[in-house]
This record gives sequence, structure tokens and C-alpha cells, in this order.
Amino acid sequence: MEVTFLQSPEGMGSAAFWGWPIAVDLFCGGLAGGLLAIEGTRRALGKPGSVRPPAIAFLLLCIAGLSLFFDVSRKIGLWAFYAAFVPSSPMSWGAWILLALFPASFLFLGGILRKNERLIRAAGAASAILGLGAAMYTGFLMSVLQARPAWHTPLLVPVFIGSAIATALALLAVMEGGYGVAFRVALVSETLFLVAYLMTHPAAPASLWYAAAFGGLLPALLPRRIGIVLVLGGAVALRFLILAASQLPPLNLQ
Amino acid sequence: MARYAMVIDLELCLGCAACVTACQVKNELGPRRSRARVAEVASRKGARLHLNFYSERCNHCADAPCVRNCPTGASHYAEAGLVSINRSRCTGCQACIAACPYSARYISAEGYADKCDFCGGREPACVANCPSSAMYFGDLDSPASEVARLLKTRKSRVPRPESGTRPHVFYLTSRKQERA
Repeated sequence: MEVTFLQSPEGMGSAAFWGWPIAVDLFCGGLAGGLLAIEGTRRALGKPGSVRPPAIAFLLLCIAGLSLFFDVSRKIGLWAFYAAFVPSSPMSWGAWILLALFPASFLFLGGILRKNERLIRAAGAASAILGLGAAMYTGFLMSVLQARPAWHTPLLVPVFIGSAIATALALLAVMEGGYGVAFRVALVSETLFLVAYLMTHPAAPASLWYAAAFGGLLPALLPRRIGIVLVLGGAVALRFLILAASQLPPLNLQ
Repeated sequence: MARYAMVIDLELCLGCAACVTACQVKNELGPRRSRARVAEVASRKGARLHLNFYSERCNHCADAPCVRNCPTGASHYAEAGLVSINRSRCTGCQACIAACPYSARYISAEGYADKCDFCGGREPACVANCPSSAMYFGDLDSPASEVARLLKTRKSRVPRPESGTRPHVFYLTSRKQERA
């Protein structure tokens, strides 16, 4: 048994790092990525649709981008994200994916507004691929961090993708109707991955069981309107809880 | 090419935190921030209780997760294996803080990530001001250096070896505690 006390001013080892803006970014970025992955694929394949999904996805992307901007402490140095590409850094991948996703989703939206079918297909396909990348990358970003036990598992990747797709389908069901089967399949998949993460990962925060129950299991059983609200709420809670789970390091770093 | 390392003798460290104060003064960090800290770790071995003081700082790892995860290349390997931060390229995104298993980094008042830089490879202030001469600094690859000699003749450990980061701060373990 070991007990550790610290003699330390602020500075080394004292700080929680990513705050609530990152949770907002994770939610909005994931949801936008999921929406663009689904709607971009549909429109690239020539299926009909309305302007609302890409418009809301673009708005969510802007909120995600603003949250990131708000969170970085040295805003004047933001150019440095795009002065280098560091293949070993998931955040570098994310920064470049976001940079490409903004114009792609803007062109996708523009194509729909101007009824330009070629632009819709091309920008829709690009948005779908980049949107999936945006939904995936946060899972990678967290799962590679060995220093954060609660995040260090490859299961976080399918949890984040599943959540992005399930929330996107929930929003599409509200906006466009339909998607009943797909929504439930995505929800069950996400919940299974989340439960697998909770059961197999010793450092997983127990509070996530509530997110799994109220944001995953119950919405699959309850009437759809209530289910959709619970899914969106559960996805927000999932991001906040996972983010909070690994903020503070253990006292004993030896 | 030199490889700088720090060696801290757990037998001699008193936990006085002079290293913390020396760091604050030398690097003009003010009274509220420091790039070093002292952890008091009480442990039990059989019926005996042991108290060790660990003077902790950036370990300048040979396989540093902060460098690997930095999205801009601001965290990089500099001369002689030092892990350095290019402040002009740092966005304060805190990816390095999330990646460091030793919590050696923090965000400075100016917004960039900050940490121990071994005082740029000159004799670090913490080493120079340690009242019990428990700290040593030098080139790991030079047979003439005190750090190389101590690591050859004494048992040592690195923090969190399971992280696989290959730290360049070594702790000489207490011979008395080993015998106990």
C-alpha cells in the first residue's frame, strides 16, 4: 500500500486540462460528422433530400470549430495547426479533416441550394468521407492516450462512431421522418459497444452506465419521440462523462 | 552526441522542496507556478513503513508521448535528447498535457504549454541548489560523468516504467530500504 502527499504550487501536475468547450466540440463535431456521413452518402447516390440536414450539419460544425477556438489558450498560435502535418498526432489529423470538411460541407449545402446535381454528388461524397473521419477521430484521439486510463481502449472509437451515427439518425428522424429501423440498429450497436467498454475496461467511469441506460437502452424501447430526446441527451452526457473521467492524474506518478 | 539525464538519490533527498523554489526563481515563474514538485510517498513493506521523497519534473523521455501527440510539432526533441517546446508554434491545445503520464506539463500564464527544460542543458537550478546534494545532472553516454557512474554502481528506477517512455530522470533507490 502506498500513500502520496504533494508539495506543489500550481503548475506541474495541478491542472485538469480539456474543459466543457471540448465536450461541446465532441458532441457537435460528432453529430455534424454523422449527419454529413449519412446525408452525403445518400445524396451522392442520387437519393432525394431537403436542405435542412446539411444546413444544420454546417451550423454544428461552426459551433464545434468555435468551441475549439474558445478552448485553445494561445489563439494567436492557431496557424501552427496548418503549418505542419504530424502523422503520429490524432489531433493533427483532426485539424486537417476539419479544415477540409468546412469547404466540402459548404459546397454540399451550396449545391443543394443551387440545385446543382454534379456539385451535390461530388461535395456530398467528400462530406460523407470527411464527416465519418470527423466522427471517428475524437475516439482515436482519446484512445491512444496511455496516460489516461479511462480513455486508453480501442472500444472508444466504435462508441464515438456509434453515438455520432445514432444521434444523426435521431435528428434526421425529427427533420425528415422515417429512419426508424436504422435509428434503432445504430442505437443498439452504440449501446453494445458502450456496455462492452464498461464491462471490459477497469478504468471506465461507472457513471456511464446511466448514459448507456437512459441514452441507449431506454430510447430503443420507448416511443420514438421520447427516444430521440433521450438519445440526444445521452450523447451530450456521454461526452461530458467520458471527458471528465480522465482529467485528473493519479497522485502517485512513480 | 550527448544524452542528458538527471539522477536523484532517494537516500539523500530530504523533501525540503528547495528544488521547487530554485526552479521558480531561476525561471522567473513567480510563487504560484513551478516546473517541479515533491511527492512524499509513504509505503509499507512487511511491518516497516517507508517514506520517500520524489523530486519530480519532466522526464525528457526518449519515447515521449507529448512529442508524438503534439499536432503542430511545437513539442520536439532538441539537442542531447532534451524534450523542448517551440513556444511560437504552441497553440495551447493541451494534447501534450493529456498525453504525459507524469503530469509534467501545465499551461503558462501566457497560454503556451510549459515544463522543465533541464535549464537548457546547463547545470539545472534544482541540482545546483539541492542542500543535500541528492541531485546529479550530466551526460548519460559519457563514462566520466557522475550520472553514468552512479547508474552503473547503484540500483535505480524510472517513474512508471510500464508507460514505455524511457525517461531520462532516474531515482537511486535506498539501499537501507532494499535490505529491509
